[in-house]
Amino acid sequence: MSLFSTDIRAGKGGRPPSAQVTYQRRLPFLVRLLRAWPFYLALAPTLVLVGVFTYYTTAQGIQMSFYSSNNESVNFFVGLDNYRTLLSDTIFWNGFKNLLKYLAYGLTVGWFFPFVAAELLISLSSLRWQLIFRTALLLPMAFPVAVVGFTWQALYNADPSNQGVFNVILGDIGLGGLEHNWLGDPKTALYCLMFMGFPYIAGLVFLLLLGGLQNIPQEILEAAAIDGCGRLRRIAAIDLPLLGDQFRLLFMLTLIGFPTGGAITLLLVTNGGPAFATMVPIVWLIQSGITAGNFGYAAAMGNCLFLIAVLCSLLFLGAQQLRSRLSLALPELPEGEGR
Amino acid sequence: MIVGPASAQKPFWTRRRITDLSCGSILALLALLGLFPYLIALLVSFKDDAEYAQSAWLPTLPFHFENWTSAWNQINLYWVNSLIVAGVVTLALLALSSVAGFVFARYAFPGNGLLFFLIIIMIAVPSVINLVPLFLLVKNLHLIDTLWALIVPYTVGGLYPSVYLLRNSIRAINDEMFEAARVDGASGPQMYWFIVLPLSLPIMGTVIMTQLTGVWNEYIWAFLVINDSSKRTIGTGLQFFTNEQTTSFGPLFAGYLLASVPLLIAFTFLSRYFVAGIQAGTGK
Repeated sequence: MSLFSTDIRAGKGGRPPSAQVTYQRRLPFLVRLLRAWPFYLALAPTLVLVGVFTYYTTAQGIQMSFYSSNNESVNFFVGLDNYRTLLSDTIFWNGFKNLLKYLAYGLTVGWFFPFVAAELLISLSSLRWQLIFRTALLLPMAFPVAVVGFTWQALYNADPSNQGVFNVILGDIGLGGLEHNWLGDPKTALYCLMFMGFPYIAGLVFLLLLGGLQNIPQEILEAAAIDGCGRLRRIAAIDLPLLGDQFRLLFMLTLIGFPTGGAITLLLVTNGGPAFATMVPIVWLIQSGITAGNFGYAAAMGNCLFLIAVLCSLLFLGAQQLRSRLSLALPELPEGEGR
Repeated sequence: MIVGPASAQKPFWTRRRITDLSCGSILALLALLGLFPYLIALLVSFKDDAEYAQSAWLPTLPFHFENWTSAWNQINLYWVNSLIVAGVVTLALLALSSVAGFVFARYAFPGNGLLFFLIIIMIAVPSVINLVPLFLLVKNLHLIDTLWALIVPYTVGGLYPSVYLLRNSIRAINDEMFEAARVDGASGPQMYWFIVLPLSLPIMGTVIMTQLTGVWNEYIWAFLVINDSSKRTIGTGLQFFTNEQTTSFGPLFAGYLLASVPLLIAFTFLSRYFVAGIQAGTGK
């Protein structure tokens, strides 16, 4: 009890550290360690859970990737064989082509609509209507991922006896010729998966960009308006540059998630699409690795995806560093906003 | 933002009004596009097969409410399972992360910084590296096809952001509050119970929402560890339900909408926490 009450961390908020804490710091390390047992006890459940289910398993995963296992009881040390096989696994690497398409689409179309919606929303003069539209635009976010996937799947349905709504609408408006087996055709399946969730407003991109736009100080906008700055000019000269932080954060999150993306295909076309057309690495890991019982190989795939994710974020951080060095080298431009 | 009272001389089509109407109509169109699949689902959920064949996207009479009851009979199990998992995970997380957050935020002891770092670094580590070994561990513990196979990994995954959030919010509590409690002879557990817990309620709301949406949305892990039809949660349950319901769209869509109800309720009444939960989950 006395330990709990005397060890309160001091010195936060500009207060000088109390004498007791200074005294505590002088104690030998081992004594401090032993006297801190109530804290370790309080942290024990958390630390044990994280230790066993994260650190231990991660170490296991690295070890496993050097073993071959047809099922979990038969293990042979195979060195780098799993990784060698992985290098020539064309399905795995072709999955990255699909991921790159997802990425390109997400960074353009996937950001365009949320940005436009955020700009339109802050242009409304009535705060009440801003709130109403914000709620309506965000509402699709409240549908579970599985519901989103399966609802779209049902809309795309092309079973002749049970046509989905898209094909029915095409037929009803006289475009029956365009009726199509959307998810069944390798040529269209991937693009149909990308189209799911259109116009992509209900989500983090919109929330962050809207927050950023709402935080732009009113004085800047008023000064710009007095200088005769029009709507489009304002977007290019004020809004986009001031949203830099938001865009950087979103880009970083996109990059970290990039190697494991596209898992929604698992939900809809469980074998990675017709003729592997929608295959992505994470789905291949689950199919060829876990479901088939090749755990060593699956672990190698997981480690590889992890490394790629880390490389992506390091690349991004490196680019950030380079950029800030370059901007330091350039002379500061005078700011016209007076802030 | 100052809007003067409309005077008689002012023309009706002011610049502001034109902007509002044009922006508003485009926004309405965008909102409609986003909600289109669910509006269609709502319409179709009241139709039987004959009515669907007659018109797929216009309302038809009579409404077939029995689609909803039959769908409910099939999916209520997944609902209950998901609620159990979300409830246990949330309670465990709140207990663990508030204690850990309190200790990390208010006490100096050897390893404080390092242990905290080892937990929160996991926010940035893609969980794919853990997928296969975690699956094998759960399998070797004979947890496959039990709800524990979901509860334990979800709890561990939720710990990283929750400990981070709780620790930061507890750190932001005014020092004087703890000082006063200490002078009055309060022990650590007492300070936890009477100061930390009440003041952490808002951030706990965020944690609860993150977990509820997380459990309702998670699919890959549930797909791997649950095969028993009586243990399925919403994600894998709907997969099963979809494969069963191949013939008519009415009950199918009714089931999908029913599966969304808890999140829709949360979104409607706890919108602030819902949005905060989405933003807090950016790490993963």
